[in-house]
Amino acid sequence: MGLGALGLGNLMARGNPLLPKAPHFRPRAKRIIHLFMNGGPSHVDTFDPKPSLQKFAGKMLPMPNLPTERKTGSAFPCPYQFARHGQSGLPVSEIFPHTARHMDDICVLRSMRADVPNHEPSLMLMNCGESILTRPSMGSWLTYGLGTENQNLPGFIAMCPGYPIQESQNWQCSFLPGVYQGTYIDTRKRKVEDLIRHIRNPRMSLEEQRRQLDLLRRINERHAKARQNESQLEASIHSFELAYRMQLEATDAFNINREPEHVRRAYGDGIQARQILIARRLVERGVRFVQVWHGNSQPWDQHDDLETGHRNLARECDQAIGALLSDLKSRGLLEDTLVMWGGEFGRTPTVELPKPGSNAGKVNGRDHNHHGFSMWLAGGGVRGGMAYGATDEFGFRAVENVMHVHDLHATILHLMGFDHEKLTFRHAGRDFRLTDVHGHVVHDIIA
Amino acid sequence: MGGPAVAGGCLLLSTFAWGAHSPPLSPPEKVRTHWAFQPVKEPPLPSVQGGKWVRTPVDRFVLARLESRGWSPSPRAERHALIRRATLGLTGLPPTFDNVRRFEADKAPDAWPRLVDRLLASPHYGEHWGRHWLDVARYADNKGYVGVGVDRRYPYSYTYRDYVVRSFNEDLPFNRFILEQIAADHLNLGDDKRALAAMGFLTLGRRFLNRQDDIIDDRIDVVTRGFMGLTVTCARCHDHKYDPVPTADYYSLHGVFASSMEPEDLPKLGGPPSPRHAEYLKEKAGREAAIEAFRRETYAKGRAELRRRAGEYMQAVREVARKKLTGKALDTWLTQRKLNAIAFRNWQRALVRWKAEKHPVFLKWFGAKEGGNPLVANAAAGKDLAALYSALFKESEKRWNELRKKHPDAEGLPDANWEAIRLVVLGPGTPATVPENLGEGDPNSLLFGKRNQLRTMRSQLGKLAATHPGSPPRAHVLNDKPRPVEPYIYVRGSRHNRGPKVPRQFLKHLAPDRKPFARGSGRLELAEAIAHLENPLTARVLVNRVWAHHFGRGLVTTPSDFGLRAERPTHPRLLDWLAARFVAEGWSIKKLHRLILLSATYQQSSMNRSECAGTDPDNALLWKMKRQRLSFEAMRDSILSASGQLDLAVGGRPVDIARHPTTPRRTLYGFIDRQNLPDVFRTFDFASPDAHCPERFENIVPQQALFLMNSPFLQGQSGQFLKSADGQGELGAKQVKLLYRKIHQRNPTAGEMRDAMAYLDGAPSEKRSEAFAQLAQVLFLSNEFRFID
Repeated sequence: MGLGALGLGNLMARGNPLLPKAPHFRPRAKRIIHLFMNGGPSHVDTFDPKPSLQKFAGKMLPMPNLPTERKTGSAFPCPYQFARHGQSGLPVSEIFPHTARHMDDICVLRSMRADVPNHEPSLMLMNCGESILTRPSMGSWLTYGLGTENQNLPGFIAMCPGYPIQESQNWQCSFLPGVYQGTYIDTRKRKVEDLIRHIRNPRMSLEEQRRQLDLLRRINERHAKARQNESQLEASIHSFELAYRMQLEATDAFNINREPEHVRRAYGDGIQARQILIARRLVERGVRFVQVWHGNSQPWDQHDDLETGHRNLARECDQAIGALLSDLKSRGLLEDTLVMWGGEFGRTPTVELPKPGSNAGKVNGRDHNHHGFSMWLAGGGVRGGMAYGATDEFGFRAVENVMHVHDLHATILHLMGFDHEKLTFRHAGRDFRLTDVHGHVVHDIIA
Repeated sequence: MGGPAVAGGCLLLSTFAWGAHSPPLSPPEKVRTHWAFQPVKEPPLPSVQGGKWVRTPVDRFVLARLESRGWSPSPRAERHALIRRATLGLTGLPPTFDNVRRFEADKAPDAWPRLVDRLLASPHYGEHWGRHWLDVARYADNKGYVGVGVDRRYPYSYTYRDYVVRSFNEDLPFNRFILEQIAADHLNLGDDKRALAAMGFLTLGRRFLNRQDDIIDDRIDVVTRGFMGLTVTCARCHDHKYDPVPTADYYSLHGVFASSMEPEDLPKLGGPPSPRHAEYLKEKAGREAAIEAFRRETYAKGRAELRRRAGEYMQAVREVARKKLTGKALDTWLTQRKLNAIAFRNWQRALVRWKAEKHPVFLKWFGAKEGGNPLVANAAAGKDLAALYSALFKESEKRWNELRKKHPDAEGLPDANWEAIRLVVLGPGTPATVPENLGEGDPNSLLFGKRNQLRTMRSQLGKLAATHPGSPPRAHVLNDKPRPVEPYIYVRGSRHNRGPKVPRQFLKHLAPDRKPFARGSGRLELAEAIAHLENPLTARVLVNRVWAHHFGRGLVTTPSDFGLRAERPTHPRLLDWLAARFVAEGWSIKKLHRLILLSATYQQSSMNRSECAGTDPDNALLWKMKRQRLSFEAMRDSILSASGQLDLAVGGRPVDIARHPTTPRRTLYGFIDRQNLPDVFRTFDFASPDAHCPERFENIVPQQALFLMNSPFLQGQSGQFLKSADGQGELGAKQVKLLYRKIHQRNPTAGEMRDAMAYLDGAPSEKRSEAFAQLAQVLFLSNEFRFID
């Protein structure tokens, strides 16, 4: 079952493929903000406390170290303090004090699992459900399935100061039509017209442009009338009117100076604050999927100097994340907006050993860990104040209620109103889907 | 919804449900009688009533179906529409105003065929139709993501693109085109080696982090879907669920490509050397020398470091012996101390030997209270004996350097004791070194720490080859490996899960009497099997592709899937007639175009007819010509053509067309960055270069409008009309007329002229020229410009 089942008819023949469409069943979430901590944040230093590591500090764990990308040595206890928060009492590390205030709205997934300990395939798996081969990203699948609620803005936006590893493959549409590719915004730039390409005409005022488009309309209508007003021609005429409005609305959406002072202050300063605040403005306007990448390349990848590194990275984004959750909640948006936090994998509970060329040999960092890691979800029909699943005593491997990335995808599609086995697209003789042949919806985390 | 098998389509790498040997879903009888697998036979021409309309046999097939519904075809389109349709359809460029006027005035009965022949003879025909083939070939100028900082450019991709253009222009028989693209290296090409570039068809795909099995899968896909409309890669993990392609056949083809490799040194294509060739060679030699110098310097520094730490290594050997460290524990211990494992083992072995030999320099090290080399024996040894040795080695090296400065020919230090110490670290067989032949990715290589710089330097060399105009063109070929690979099935697609061995051979269903390939990899035999007269798919697939480009819809609506799940052709006999004629006429694509374009079917008006549109909105029965949107390339080229900027040069290295100010080259020559394809390509539904692309989408979204309204490209091209109008007096009716002629190849109507003048007059006088440029832009944005009637 593919498009036909969704009642979309022949995609190629229709006009605007981004018009809103109904999913398979009533959705709990209508839009998503994915806060992507690229590089892989350490779960044992953030949301999955492991006091047992302290006991083995400097000693080998009483279990063999699992194979990861590089060699790791003795146990490396978390350098930060954990405290319990909210009525749920979920523990959070001291480096996320603002996020910590929202634990009752957050569901921590402590038993995430990916396939391999390398960035590239894990990024592809997290975004597209397949490590190596080229497949559409989740944002592309969702805009394909749902269209977008606001025709004046792109349906799927990926923001990053610079480029993550694997670049635009992270938001690729692959074999889905090009309109479902994520629109990439380089948030190092500040001026609105630099953020979105062709959003403004540098030489014409809006009044002049209106006059120009009025002439275009007249010419096009005369042309269409002589051709019995074919739908294709009408769609084209309509697209200019949409584009004209898009100029106004998109400019407005990306302009955080329109926010009152107290809101901007709540989010804080810096690029993270700016892009997370933009994310809220976008979902508020009906953008379907907003991905916010922490930074260029892979900032969370701390093979060395983890203690200062993670502290600084968390400081960069924590206040804005806290503000985002409060803000969404007070606007009534958290109910049907799914906020998702996490990286492509976690990090080892053991210390990474020096290896020339791989790290600085300081023996104070952690290696990648795909065997078990944490992510968290908030809003969008997810149960707050709970931790789902667990890693082993030391945080090396997910052992209880293991949640593979495919399961996460299946669950997210479910929250968005889709049966993940039925959101398909025929390509090269096969009906493809985000979860390929995998994925189970985890109902336990749904409120 | 049935079980998961039906819903999911393919259970790739699945560990449940479908195993490698599940029965296919299509009953054997259905497979046997499937239309696409039947031999192509030229069918008799159907009889029709409205014979007057019929111009060619094509029309009989079309008319017969229309008449069976009681429908009639549409009247012939107007001449203005016809010449625009044919010119854009064959060359991707618009006609000129003069072309149109001449054609409209040409009342000779053969005006139309002459026009078609003229267009087919244009060098721009090959550019436009070559690009259609590049969609099939998932052409791009780089590899996609292959790692951080790794050069991903294909330096000679353009030679494949130019080969394709030339093949279409020269009307290379399509069966030969197949052979060259799959196995040019096996063909006798004589002195003209240009056809070697054809193999870019196989090699220019995405590289999937250089995973061989995925690269091979991509090649199997482009070959089987591209030429035969068969989705063979569905059989990578389990037998094809619908089509007669067992996993065994997939691995038979896998073996063909696994037996092929890309040579390090890509062959040159010949041709006259560029006048800047010498300049290129000089630049290249300079960069190569710089790389070599950097390597030498890095080795020298690395060895100096090993000598400086000689004492540490001696100490390490002692401690490791005391701690009895071996294996992984030893490796870890060495890593933590940043000691080179190879140098360490050298020292281990050397010290064993020297102990046995009672080497005078090391007597003290092994505990002798006296004797041995006096320089060692007499030195005041503090607590740290290793440091003493390091100091002595250092001093000997210093003396040696000073001596060599004065006497470059000196062979040793005059003082025998100092010489003995020097020889430990600088003599032949010294442990303080690491072989140079280690790969730089080996952590023990002395180059390891500098491998990123080396990689960057090499990628600069690659960039030079790709971009320097004096760099000779080469072909991205495949060659056979000296010994072909004997393939075996990967059970469920996993290379670690070996199934039975299979020979390299063609697909069983298409060649029941097949024999294992015997010549090298078997690539040529594979190509011959695809191009074989009796292959029921190849010709059908090709004529359907050509038809689909002309009519905006194929006779088979899934151009790259002719398997059991494909829709039946709308005109099966027409498809067979075309395929049979195509082969009979020597696989000539130009002749095929003539068959199609001279038909009355092609020349129909595109006007909608409500009596037909209601039941057949997709025009499956061809009761009219479908109106098509200009492709991205045709749109951009048409704009440049109208503004007078278009550079009509054919061939050459790719250029960046997304930047501003734009290069006026045809869009075909734009650099295709597979990894980060510029937005504008995707916005206008350009073929995804990720994988073989059967057909382009035709979406209409506001992002296209934004580009047209606001991009510097449109601003710039619209502004060009001001330049040509410069000095012609006030911008008025005369210039408006010219705009219409250039952009729409016709004169404006009275109403259009009124509107245009009102627009100009409505602007303040100081903004009149801006308003004129805006008017030009409006014509570019108009549906008349962006659609082909």
